[in-house]
Amino acid sequence: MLALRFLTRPHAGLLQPLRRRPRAPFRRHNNTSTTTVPPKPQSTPPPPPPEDQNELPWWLRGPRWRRVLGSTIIGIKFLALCHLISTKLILISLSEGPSMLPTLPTSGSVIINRLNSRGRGIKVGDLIAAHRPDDLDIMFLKRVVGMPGDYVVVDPMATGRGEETMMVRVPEGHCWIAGDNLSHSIDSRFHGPIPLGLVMGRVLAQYSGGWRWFTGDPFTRIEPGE
Amino acid sequence: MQSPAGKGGGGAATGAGRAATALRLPKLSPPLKLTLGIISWLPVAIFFFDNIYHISWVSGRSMYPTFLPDSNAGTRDLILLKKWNARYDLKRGEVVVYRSPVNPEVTAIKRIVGIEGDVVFPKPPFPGRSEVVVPRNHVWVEGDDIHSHDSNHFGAISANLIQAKVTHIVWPFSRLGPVEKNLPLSTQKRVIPIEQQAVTVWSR
Repeated sequence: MLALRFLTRPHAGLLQPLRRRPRAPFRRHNNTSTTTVPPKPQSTPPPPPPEDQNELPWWLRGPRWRRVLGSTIIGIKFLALCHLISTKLILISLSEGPSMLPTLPTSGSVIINRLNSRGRGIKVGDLIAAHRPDDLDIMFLKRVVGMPGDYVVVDPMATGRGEETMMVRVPEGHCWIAGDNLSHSIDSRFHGPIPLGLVMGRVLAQYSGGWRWFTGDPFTRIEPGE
Repeated sequence: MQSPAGKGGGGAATGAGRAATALRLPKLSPPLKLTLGIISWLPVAIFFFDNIYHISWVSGRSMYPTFLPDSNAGTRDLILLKKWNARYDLKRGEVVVYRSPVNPEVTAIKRIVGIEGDVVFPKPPFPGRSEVVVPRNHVWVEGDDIHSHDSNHFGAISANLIQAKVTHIVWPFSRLGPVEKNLPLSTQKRVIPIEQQAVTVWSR
């Protein structure tokens, strides 16, 4: 509705009321009455009471260029605020893939606490979101297995294949991550320890689609590590 | 006896009233209004400094003589950092600011020596092999000075750790201008660029 209105009457402010043209009084077309009523001397309509322009916020006041400029500035400020919240405080993002299967479904969304970015306050057992070290635009969700200084088993499934288990020490400033679904996960077994600087944050909760908004609590809390 | 004039006036009044009730802002005192106005620009400023351009002081001797050529004179260098698309389109010789893989709270400034696919011959502190193929989406960074903690200690770093490219020196005024993007000759000899490799040891 708002968009239609903006298309049809772009000169009108987005949030200003449409000012209707005063409609002409109804007059029958074939006025057969012979007695012509002399038109009343129409008194000029009194000017509408001055719109209290001070009630409107400044970006909707004044001439058109001012309203356009003001709305743009307000929009930029709003977008910057959203960006600030999503990079510094909390981020809601889609997730997909089978690597965390028992914990996260193959498609859904997660809530990420950005206060834990760069590995601040991350503990072993946390579910984290991080940039993939070998790709510019892909992020992954994995579980932290080892923090700096810990000794971790590189591949827990190696003994099942009859290979020798190998243990490594996680270097300074890095963490060892693994998916919950080890057989379909590209994690530290492939990348090696990843730098904590790539960590985007800790996953607080996950939400997987559907109509559970109305039937119950749609979010599943992801328990933090210890 | 109602005149159309009266009706029109009434309609206009209701219209104006609706607009006012829809977007009525509380009356604020001028100093409070000014403060709120300044605060509302803060996210925009943070966005600009985090994602577009930033200026920063250089500390540390690892980039001597590009930065701080006369550190005992007591002057520090002010540099202009380009943060927009900093991780993309990396080239050999560019000076970048990256988040240290050893300590994520610290950023360091180094020169890119090898990009993905290059073969680099590391210098002594590097353990093990005599040549390294830089992995996908990684870069090999080194300082211009010998005493620098760089990829010769911790290996190639992920390009996602890169925060900014250093484009200009802003202060001191005598060295104002763009940062040169040439590798020193001694360093160039230790890199085989991927374009010059006869056999591709690495594939995208």
